Amino acid sequence: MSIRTADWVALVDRPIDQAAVRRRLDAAPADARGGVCIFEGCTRSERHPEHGSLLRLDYEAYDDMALRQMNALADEAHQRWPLGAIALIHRTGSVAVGEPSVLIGVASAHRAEAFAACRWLIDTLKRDVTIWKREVWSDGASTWSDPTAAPKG
Amino acid sequence: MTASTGVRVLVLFLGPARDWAGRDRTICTVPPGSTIASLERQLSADAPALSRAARSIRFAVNQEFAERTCVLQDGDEVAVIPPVSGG
Repeated sequence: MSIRTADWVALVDRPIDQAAVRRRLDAAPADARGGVCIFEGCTRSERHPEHGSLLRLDYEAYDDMALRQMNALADEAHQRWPLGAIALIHRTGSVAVGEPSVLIGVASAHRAEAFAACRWLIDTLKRDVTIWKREVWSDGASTWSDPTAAPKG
Repeated sequence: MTASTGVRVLVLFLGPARDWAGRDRTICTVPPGSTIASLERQLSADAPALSRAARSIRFAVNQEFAERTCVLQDGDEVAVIPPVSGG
């Protein structure tokens, strides 16, 4: 498993430093940075029929495996598409409504590869990487998010 | 450790599996040559909620996804992995 110098793959227990991610992507060589695609996944406000409004999501990871998987995803993305840099950052701990829990950034020579790689990275991360979230509601209840429920994006 | 003493594995119940099992980890001893499938039967005997969720559960051995036919080795770390919900 090789980690390219421009890549940044991490689990972080505090707010994602978007400016630092941006600087890292900007460090990719200009001939591999014709298109930069950044996806952020944020805690969406929700209402529960019994428990009220969503306050936050509490994320936990099987850390070593999750990080290993994320590095493998970055490696595979480099094999599938010609990419100048990848950022793959996921939060653990509490993420309030409106705050980002995941950030994926991809720099490539052309936009098609940047969009495709970014989409593949978030879809594959959501399917396989060993991270779980608990929904914390305004009445104090908390429930595990059910990824097998109807997909909402 | 000789073969007759059995194979000791650390089992981690991750995310929702912690609630299904009522604990976050346990140490299990299984006969030499046992697979994940046989360990799963042993775990489910104590935790019916685990067997109800069996179809959605994946396993990892030493932090790599593993099939239920995988034969366990002494000292393995076995993780019970419910559907993930990152992102």
